[in-house]
Amino acid sequence: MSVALAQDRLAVAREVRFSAGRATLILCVLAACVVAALLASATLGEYPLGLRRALLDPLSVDASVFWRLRVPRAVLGALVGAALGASGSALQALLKNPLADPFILGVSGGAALGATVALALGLTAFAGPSLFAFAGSVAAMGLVLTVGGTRRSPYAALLTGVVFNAFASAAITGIKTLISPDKVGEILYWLAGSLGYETPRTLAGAAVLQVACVGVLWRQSGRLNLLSLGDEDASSLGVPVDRTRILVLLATSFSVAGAVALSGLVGFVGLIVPHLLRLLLGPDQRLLVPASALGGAAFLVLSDLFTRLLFPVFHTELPVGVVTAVLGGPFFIYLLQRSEART
Amino acid sequence: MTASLSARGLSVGYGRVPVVEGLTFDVQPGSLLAVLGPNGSGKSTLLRSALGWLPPLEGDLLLFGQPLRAFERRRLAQRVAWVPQTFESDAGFTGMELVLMGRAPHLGAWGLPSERDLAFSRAAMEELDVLPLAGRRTGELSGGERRLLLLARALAQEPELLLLDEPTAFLDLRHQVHVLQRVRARVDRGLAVVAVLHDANLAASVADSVLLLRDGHVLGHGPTRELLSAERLASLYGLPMVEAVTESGVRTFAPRWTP
Repeated sequence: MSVALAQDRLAVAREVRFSAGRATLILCVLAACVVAALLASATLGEYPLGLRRALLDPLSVDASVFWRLRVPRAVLGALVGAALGASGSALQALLKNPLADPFILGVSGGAALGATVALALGLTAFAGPSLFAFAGSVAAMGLVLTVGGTRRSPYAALLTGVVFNAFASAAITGIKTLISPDKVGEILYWLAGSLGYETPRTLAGAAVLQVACVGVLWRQSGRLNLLSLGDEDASSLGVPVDRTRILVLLATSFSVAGAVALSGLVGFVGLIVPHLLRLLLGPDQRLLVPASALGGAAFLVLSDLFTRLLFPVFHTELPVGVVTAVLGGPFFIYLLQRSEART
Repeated sequence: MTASLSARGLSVGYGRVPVVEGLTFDVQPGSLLAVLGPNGSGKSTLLRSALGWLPPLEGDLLLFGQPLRAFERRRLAQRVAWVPQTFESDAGFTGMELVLMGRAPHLGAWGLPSERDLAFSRAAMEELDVLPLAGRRTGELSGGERRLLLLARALAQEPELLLLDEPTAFLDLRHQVHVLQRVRARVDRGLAVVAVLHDANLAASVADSVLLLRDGHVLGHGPTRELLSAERLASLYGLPMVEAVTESGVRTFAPRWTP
């Protein structure tokens, strides 16, 4: 290859950062990170576990801990993280707001209100809080979409979501003052976001939901690029704006509702992961959506591992939402200052 | 020959309130129609209606001989390009990435641009002298530079009909002339253009025909040479105008100053 040609290739790579080859490479690296995080999470912990024994001797305690406790929990973390990461990236592009968070469209308020009602009524059997949280977030999403989703401006949906979240938080405070203190404790723990044990059947259902939703978002990611320029620009370039917006809002809402139902409100993943990846990889959603899914999965699995490793320090397990917020908050402020300094 | 864009007794507006009324005109392939008029006279509204964002309240709007609703968004974008007045997004794309988006309506299911799409984008940027902006972030560019990139994006789209909303706004004099020369060269190769302009002199030098809009009504429509005159422009803008002919024989118009 001649020098001129090589220089030409370099220039093209700087000018157009997206290419199928580069995207594949980056996604493979991130997928390897997820696998490494899953392995680390499944092997490390209070009980020192031998991976070889766990895999080779199905009757050992190691195998039991590995397959029944750690793998399901790590998989749950990966699914929730992927949902929050991909939805965060898609919503930031759709709403043209880098500070948009997957919970912004009322999903968090709906889920929190649903779970609070379930816990206040003592409906803890049969995954009561999860079902109520899912129902609550789907109902909130329905409200936000009917009131604001079909308008030309993305702000209608955004504002409806913010208002609904405020309403839900007032309702939750109201409920908390009316019930016994031990139930308030349960509600607080749920709201902070934590990963627990879910049955293989629940996990399989969640996996199907998340693969479908992230798949839809990935499919729409090229259109999301155009939408991030503005609705009219996108429309003039052939994007069916209203249809794309509804599809993306539905996919993110179902994805986040499914995640929140199983984990509570794990904050910052959907904000930090897409942001960091955008700084590293550029703004192209065709890469950012899948990369944020993988990055979110790895980040949440490692954060959860962290809460388990901190168990001996606090003698209780911190909700993983606390860890993501403690890690994510300062980092986010740093990013914000950096981006403000640049403009 | 089928007109690229034709209006028959067209009224368009927001909701039920018409902004422009009674438009009848044709834009043939290989011709440039300049739309002149004061601010708020409905020029941009007219362009928007041609993109299907404002359905006609009355009359008909035909694109390539077919009613607008016969076109699905993507098919429309393959044939019609639009250059907006402003562009404020700072999503962080590079100049080349922005121009490459003009190829979006032509891409396949995976949305992956081919070498050919890259070549089209590069050629459009070369045409407008903005290739040096290829690797720069659009957020760091000046209003005029972004404007040129949007024009390059529209050219990369390879449309049959190009709708320009004040293409020369934010541009210095050299770029104004250069851009309109490049557009004119494309028109001579068969492109149809509707350009909203504010400069009657630029319109006089590039347009085949002009449409004068005032308060949502047509003040005049016809071949540039016949229609543009100091009196007509005076009544269009509500400002006394003078006409002069330069040594090289070019007609120019200027407001008559009364300090």
